[in-house]
Amino acid sequence: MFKLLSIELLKVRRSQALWMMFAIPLVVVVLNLLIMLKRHSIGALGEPVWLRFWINNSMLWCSFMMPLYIALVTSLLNGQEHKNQTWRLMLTLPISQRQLYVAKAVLAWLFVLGANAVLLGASALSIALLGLAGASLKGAFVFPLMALLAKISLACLPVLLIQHALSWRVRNLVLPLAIGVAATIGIGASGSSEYWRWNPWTYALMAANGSQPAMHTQALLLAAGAGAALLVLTAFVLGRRETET
Amino acid sequence: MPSPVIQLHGVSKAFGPHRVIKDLSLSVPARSIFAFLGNNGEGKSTTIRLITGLLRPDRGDISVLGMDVRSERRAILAQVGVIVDAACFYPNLTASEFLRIGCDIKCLPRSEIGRVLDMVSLGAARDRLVGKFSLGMKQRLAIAHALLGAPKLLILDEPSNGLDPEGIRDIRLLLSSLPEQGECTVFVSSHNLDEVEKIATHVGVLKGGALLFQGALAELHARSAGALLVDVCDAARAGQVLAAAGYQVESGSDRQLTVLGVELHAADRVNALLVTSGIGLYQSVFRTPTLEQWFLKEHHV
Repeated sequence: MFKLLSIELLKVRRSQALWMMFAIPLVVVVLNLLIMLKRHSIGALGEPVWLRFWINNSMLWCSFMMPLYIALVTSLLNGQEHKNQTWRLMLTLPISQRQLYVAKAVLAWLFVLGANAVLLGASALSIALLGLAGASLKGAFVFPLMALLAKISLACLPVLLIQHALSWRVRNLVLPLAIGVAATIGIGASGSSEYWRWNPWTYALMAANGSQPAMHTQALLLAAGAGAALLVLTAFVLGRRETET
Repeated sequence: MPSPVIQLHGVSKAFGPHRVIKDLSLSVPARSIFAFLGNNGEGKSTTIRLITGLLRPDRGDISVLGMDVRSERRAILAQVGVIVDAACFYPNLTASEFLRIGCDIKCLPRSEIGRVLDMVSLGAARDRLVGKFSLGMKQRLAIAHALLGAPKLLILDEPSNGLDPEGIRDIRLLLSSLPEQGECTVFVSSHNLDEVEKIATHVGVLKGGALLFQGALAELHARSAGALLVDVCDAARAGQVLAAAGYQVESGSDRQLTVLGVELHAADRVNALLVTSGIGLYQSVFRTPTLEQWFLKEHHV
């Protein structure tokens, strides 16, 4: 599996998906940074503003940009094979379809981990730069960075696997992207209701920003369970199909 | 006699109501260059996908290198180099990065990359992006990928597509040298019948999803009706004698005529008939139909 994963990593060199991993989280950070600087002068930046900056970044990321990013990146990773018809090349090598499916799912998850790291790194870097410009850094880095990264990386698994399965099966990029956009719009409605548990797209938001600590744990447990079930199910079903009909 | 490298027995495959392959049985001898021929839509690519395990047959058995494709697909593909349909690439990778994919999956040393690139004369382009390659260079790269690890069997679908005349010659020389160099068998599907005829030792011809002929190319030639060119002292009289014996004759000059639609073994009878009829026979040359002529005749074109 590690060998196949290293090959999948080789295949994304100089690819659009790689650029997206940096560009999309940066958009979130830059947007929130501009909003913060519009509201507060550099001299007025302090502990409560930094906390709000971290929360805004994670909320915008979890409730809007990350689901869209997952839809985009899974479409690009699988679309590369559809577009170049390289499924045939890969599946005439001594690997199984199921191995390839799982390797690509892990690769997509690594891309989410990478984007999360870029988001958190860019947030920290922008604060540090403001510190160099004269802002007070008191309380700027108390937000639990690593815990947040771990939570949203786990909580996004069901969405990632749904989008990956769709993009694996559907040659056209439009359908998986459309589903991703529609489901992301639904986060706002179901995320604030008691039915959020039925919408996997809300799990990342609830795990990172749920109003009660119990919601964080529940979202993580649901995400882990649904993620494992989806991986087994989709790998079993899609791995059995003929590659071309 | 070594066992066949590819063996299909009673294989059928349908896509919905459309039966593409009908009870196909095929046997590809070891160390042969087997040309798999047929018009578009006759089932060549489907057969290749069945052999490589990309598709599963509805009925019948397929074995490659003595192993069952269904149960030992990965073990088979470790020893086989394949180009299915058009060559496919990752345009964002360099030639050597692209070959690393096959090299790593087959657990081969990286030195293989240089070896196969040199074999297809792409050594100088190893660090260039595949997306910037010409069609011919891409085709060479696909062949290089198939050659990784010196496979026991090469399955090539239209390997000369997009190649210039020099490239076609180079690939022909390369492919024809493979069975001599080692244990490699080449299974090649192509529309370029002239090229195929230059390298093939055996042929299989598909028509309507079923096999029209399979065997040695020499056997096909021997069984095919050709033309016998005879130089005689009196062509007019020779024509009368042969026509009376039921041969179809076309006169050329007063000393030359052509007997049409005869097989190689019938040439002796024609010669004997002329001599026993007292007609002086100076020369008799049998002209085998080319593979293309035979193919077009069988497909009623």
